[in-house]
Amino acid sequence: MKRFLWAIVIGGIAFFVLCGAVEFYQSRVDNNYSYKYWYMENHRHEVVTLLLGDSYIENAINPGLMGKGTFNLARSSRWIYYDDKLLEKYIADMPNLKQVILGMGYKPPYFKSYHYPESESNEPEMNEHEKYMYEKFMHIRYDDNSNHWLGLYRGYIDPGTLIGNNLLCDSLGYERVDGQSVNWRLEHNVDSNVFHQKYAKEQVAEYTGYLKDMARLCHLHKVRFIVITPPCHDSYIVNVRQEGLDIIHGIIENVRSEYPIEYIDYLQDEEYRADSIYRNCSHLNSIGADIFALRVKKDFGL
Amino acid sequence: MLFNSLQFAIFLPIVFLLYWFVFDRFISKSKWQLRLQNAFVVVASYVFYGWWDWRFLLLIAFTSFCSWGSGILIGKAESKKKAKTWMWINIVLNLGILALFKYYDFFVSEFAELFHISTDGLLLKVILPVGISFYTFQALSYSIDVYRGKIEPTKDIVAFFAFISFFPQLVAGPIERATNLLPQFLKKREFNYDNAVDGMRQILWGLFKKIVVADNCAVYVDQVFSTYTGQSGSTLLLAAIFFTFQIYGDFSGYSDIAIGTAKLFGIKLMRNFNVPYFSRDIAEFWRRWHISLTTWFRDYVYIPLGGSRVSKAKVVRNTFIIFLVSGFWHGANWTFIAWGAYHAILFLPLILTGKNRKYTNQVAEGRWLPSLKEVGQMLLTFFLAVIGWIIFRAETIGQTWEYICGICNRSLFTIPAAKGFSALGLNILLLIIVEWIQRDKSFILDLSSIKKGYLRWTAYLALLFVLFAFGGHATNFIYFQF
Repeated sequence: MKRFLWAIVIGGIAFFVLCGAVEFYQSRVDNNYSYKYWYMENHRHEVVTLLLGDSYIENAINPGLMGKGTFNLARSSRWIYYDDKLLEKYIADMPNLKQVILGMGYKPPYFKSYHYPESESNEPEMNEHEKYMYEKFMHIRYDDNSNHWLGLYRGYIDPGTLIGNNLLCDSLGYERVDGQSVNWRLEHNVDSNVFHQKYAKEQVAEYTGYLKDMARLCHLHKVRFIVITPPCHDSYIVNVRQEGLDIIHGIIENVRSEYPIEYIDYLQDEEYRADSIYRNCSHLNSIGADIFALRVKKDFGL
Repeated sequence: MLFNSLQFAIFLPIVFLLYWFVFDRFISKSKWQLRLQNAFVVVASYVFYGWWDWRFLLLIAFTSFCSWGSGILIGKAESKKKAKTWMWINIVLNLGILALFKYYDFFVSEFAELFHISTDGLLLKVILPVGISFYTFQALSYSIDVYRGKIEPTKDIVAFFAFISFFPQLVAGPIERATNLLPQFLKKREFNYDNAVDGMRQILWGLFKKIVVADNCAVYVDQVFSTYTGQSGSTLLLAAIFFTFQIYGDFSGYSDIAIGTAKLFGIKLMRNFNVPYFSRDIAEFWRRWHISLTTWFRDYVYIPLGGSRVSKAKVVRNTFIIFLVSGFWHGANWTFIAWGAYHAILFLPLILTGKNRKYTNQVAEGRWLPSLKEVGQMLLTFFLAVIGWIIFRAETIGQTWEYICGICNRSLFTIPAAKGFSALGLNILLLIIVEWIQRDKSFILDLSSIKKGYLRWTAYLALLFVLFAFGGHATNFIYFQF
């Protein structure tokens, strides 16, 4: 028995040493987070237009077409909390910044309620990997009830990062996605109850709070604050409900009552009806990202 | 409590240490030591099982008590006829509970649909207790074996409760026979270093199959099966192949963890899978897939019906019965019955021509690589299994048909949409290679032939790391629902 227990202990120690070695290696592999952090630390003074948001922006707006000084700081699956913290951290030291463009999709303000309507937790739905990558590489921590250390470690070891290069964005922070994904039409219908449940309301209130704080920061530093709802495919729009639209438009009006905010809803825009511009039903691909970037540039006179 | 959960990672070491250090060592002088250790197994197993829903405990306790009581009554019966009556009472009772929880709603719904009757107020809509089919069959085997005189009825109710509820194999097998497992609870267990190490190896490989292969396959399979009408033939075929590995990784992974965990407690469980996808025909596949259920049906249904030593017409009947019942055992859905019928049709030509036991050895025995003929046979059997799994995975017979039709068109020859799944492909390849190399061993990760300790440790650490790095999100084991 003693021999067996010793074997378990020694094996466990060896495993932790191995994990440490891999972590050391991983910390030296560039990825979207580390690159965007590096860019903001070293080039924030050059930024004129800052794009923030999640995959609806990171993959859907090509900053190269939006004029000099545009940088895409958006990151897939992020919760608006990170946008607010990033803005708070950098805005005072961005002398050339003229506008901040934030993407607000149809779902994110009540994302968890949408996917887990039975959940009794008020925690925002966040991808574990993304959450810990923000902490490790952008030094912004979000405290919640999950297993922090396990997640922190696993945050590194994304299978993609382990095998190859995980720096998928270009020098302006844009992550190009070509073609369509396997489940590109997959979208579940939303029960109307989702919009009215307690946690949905709490999450919308939390989302509004962060948005308002971003509007306040922009207003304070005399920067235009632009919010856009990106376009979606018809197969997604059939499931869009008026209650959901009322919520996101209500959030804008709520913020507008206190701070200046410019907003355009492109969700059902007629220009974006072709299948070929979508990666999946709610995300543009690289063709769509080029078209959308030019449209945003024109609409807001950038 | 799931094997691949943090709760189990805490539960197992605590139970292990208490089992060996408190209930074995410190009270070893007591005559009650064995009984106390068995009682501890029962308590630990009930905690493990009650983690899902404590109400299930009442059912398993009732099943255990009835089967134990029936064993006593069969043993005391003055005549064979009376013994038979007690056995049948236990069978009806156990199958009645199973039918009530698992099949009642299905039959009522089908009956109501057939005769256009409303089901209002007729359906029970009860939750299916986890693993009910497994422990019910285990309990049945006991009373049948007592009746047949294969095992003496036990008076030790604690040992019997431990036999029915032993947590490693409680919810998804292997379905143990009383003749194998019960005697192990009636004698003192000794800790054996080699057995414990083997157990850890088996747990490690089981976790790899479950967490790395099955859980990651599930992501792709669920996406494609839920949108199958819009997918290319090649994508549908790839999803069917992934499901073939998912169900294998899920179920055989669970069995490996169960067998490995049992070894840590000095208990030996039967082998439940023996590299089934290296089979050369369907008969061999069924000797290697879910062995504990297949042999259960063989011993308690097929052979009592006459087996294959009857007229050809009866052989056909017996084969269909065994496969249909096996399909229905998996769940109350026509797809499971169709899956059973499909395998019966594949099996029949082999049994009617006497070729069902043609391949009883391991493929390419004593060789590194198979012959071309063997490769062809394995691929054909694998392909037939894949078709079977489409029937099994689909929600309706209609969906099965549409799915198979979706595969059979020109888009089958296009590149499947599988972006982001290359790591999964590599892990499946690792599974195939390791299982091929180790196919002769009593369990796959039996590395005892590697004499250099550092090489063995390198393999363990590499596998642990793969588990950690590539593990999918913890999901339930598929076979829990059965």
